[in-house]
Amino acid sequence: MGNTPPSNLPFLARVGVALRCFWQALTRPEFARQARALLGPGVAAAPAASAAVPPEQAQAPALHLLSLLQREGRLIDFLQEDIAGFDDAEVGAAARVVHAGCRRVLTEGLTLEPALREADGASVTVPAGFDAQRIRLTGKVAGQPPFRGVLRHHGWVATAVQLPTLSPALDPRVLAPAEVEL
Amino acid sequence: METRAERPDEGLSRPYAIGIDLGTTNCAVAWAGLAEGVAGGVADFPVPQLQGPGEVASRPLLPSFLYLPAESEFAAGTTRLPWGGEAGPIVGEWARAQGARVPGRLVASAKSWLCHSGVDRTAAILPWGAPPDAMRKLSPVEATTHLLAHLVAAWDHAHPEAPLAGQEVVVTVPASFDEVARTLTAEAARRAGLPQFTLLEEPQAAFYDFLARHRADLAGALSGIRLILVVDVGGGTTDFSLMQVEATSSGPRLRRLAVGDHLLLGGDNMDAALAHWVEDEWRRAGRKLGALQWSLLVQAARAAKEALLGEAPPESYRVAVAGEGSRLLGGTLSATIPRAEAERLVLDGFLPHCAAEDAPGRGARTALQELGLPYAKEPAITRHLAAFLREHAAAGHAALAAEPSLGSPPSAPDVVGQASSLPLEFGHFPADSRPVMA
Repeated sequence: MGNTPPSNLPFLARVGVALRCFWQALTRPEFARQARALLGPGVAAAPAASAAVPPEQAQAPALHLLSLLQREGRLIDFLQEDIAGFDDAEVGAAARVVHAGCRRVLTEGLTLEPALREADGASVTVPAGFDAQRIRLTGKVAGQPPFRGVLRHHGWVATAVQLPTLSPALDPRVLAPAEVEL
Repeated sequence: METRAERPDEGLSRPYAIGIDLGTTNCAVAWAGLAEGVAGGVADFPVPQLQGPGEVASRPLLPSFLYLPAESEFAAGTTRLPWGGEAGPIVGEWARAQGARVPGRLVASAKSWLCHSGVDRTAAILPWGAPPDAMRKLSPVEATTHLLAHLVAAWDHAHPEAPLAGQEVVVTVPASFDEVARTLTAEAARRAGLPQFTLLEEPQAAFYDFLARHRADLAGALSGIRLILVVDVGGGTTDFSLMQVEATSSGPRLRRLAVGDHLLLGGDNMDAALAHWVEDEWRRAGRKLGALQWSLLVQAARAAKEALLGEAPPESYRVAVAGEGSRLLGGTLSATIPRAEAERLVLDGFLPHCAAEDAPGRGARTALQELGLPYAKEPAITRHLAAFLREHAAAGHAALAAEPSLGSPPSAPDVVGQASSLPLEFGHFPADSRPVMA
């Protein structure tokens, strides 16, 4: 077809490019200089960059959940450590700390229920029109529902979320502050 | 009850009855809709509180702890509550957690200080032992005011249409609170923004709960009962009350016979006793605990106590406390508490079988030592109880011998809590601040 112009990027792809430009401009002075030239005169007044939510604010609830798991259960300390050199007794002792604290975060912040009420190993019927997000079929999957099968894992569904509310003054990137004893 | 008619604002709508349990270790708020009556049930009010910097969540209990932050200790805006309150001390869960790191800025057990006759309870003495120029200290009354003010603000924030000051509010106090402690509690409540409320003694509240639970078969539940002993073992304190049940034509009537001393002894001491046992194990192995680890160990000991002395207890319970550094492996301390040890420490230590003539000993016990407050020297609650019952034996025997006063008409339709029989039961504190006894 010769010289047809390339087709326009879809919206989501453009969001991706915008975010990458944002980061690249922030982190690479050379990119920022080139982008400025590309944008042409009047770039100083362009609000595009300043209007974007910083990524850490967009992800604040996820980062905060991590900080809760660290504060109550030392999860990040545990995962960041190389456990290969320690014996099972030491790993087990640490796991108790992680388990007790992270469990507290889960029970206080979420109401969890199994996706299916039957016990693991029970025979279950998967009805026609089942919720494919709540039930995953494994093994010999063929034909049309209803299916008969054995429950291998009852799944988990969060039926309520009561996570803390966060102040905008909080820097969500700090998952655990450094502690300095005076 | 019957005194409500005397109150000047009768007729204003008060949609809720609200009870505030101002505890030594934890505070709680419960409410009931007045329109629904008893059938509507009682619900807890989960209290929003800071869990850490800039993080607010609701919890069923408000730990009775205040933390007085240093200037610039926390980033601007991160001590703010949903209703403001940034300037005051930090209250509740975060205060307790931060106080474990910085004990010198923590105010705990404000209620025990409020009834400590050995100190000036209106003087700024808390945190106890902190140097006078280190921070603006609080008096026990101010500390209590901050706790109550937090509860008031939290309720008002959740119920802007029905502020707490306009509801039927009951604040409980230990029966053993002296007049000064009662007056100071009332003063704290007024300063916290409660113009009207009722002070109710805790054992009385416990008995009302019993009555409410047995309202369908009250006569049956109390048949043949002449004396009621309420033993209230709280987090930080233990109280005994002895009450006489009098049968009347309209139902049982309650008269308070005796109230024990305010014992600074409770569940927290049991946790500490278990924690000390574990600490000794670790010390023998050459491991020492920092202040923060000690507070984590006490928390773990509480969980162990509840598991080992609860329903279907395990044979043993393992506790683990992480080291202070960022390395979890190698730094974590763990120990196994056998059930027999928990029973020895908690049941034999605090609730041993004892004879009626046993008296509380005077020996010091390290688990109970903390400077400042007059903690009970004898950890055995049962020995304190034996001494209490012996002291009031005459009144008890007289009550047991008394004929049921059937037929004497009560002066009001209430089944319990009559004016003549309970001089201290209802202290109404209306707006003119004059205590009105029901």
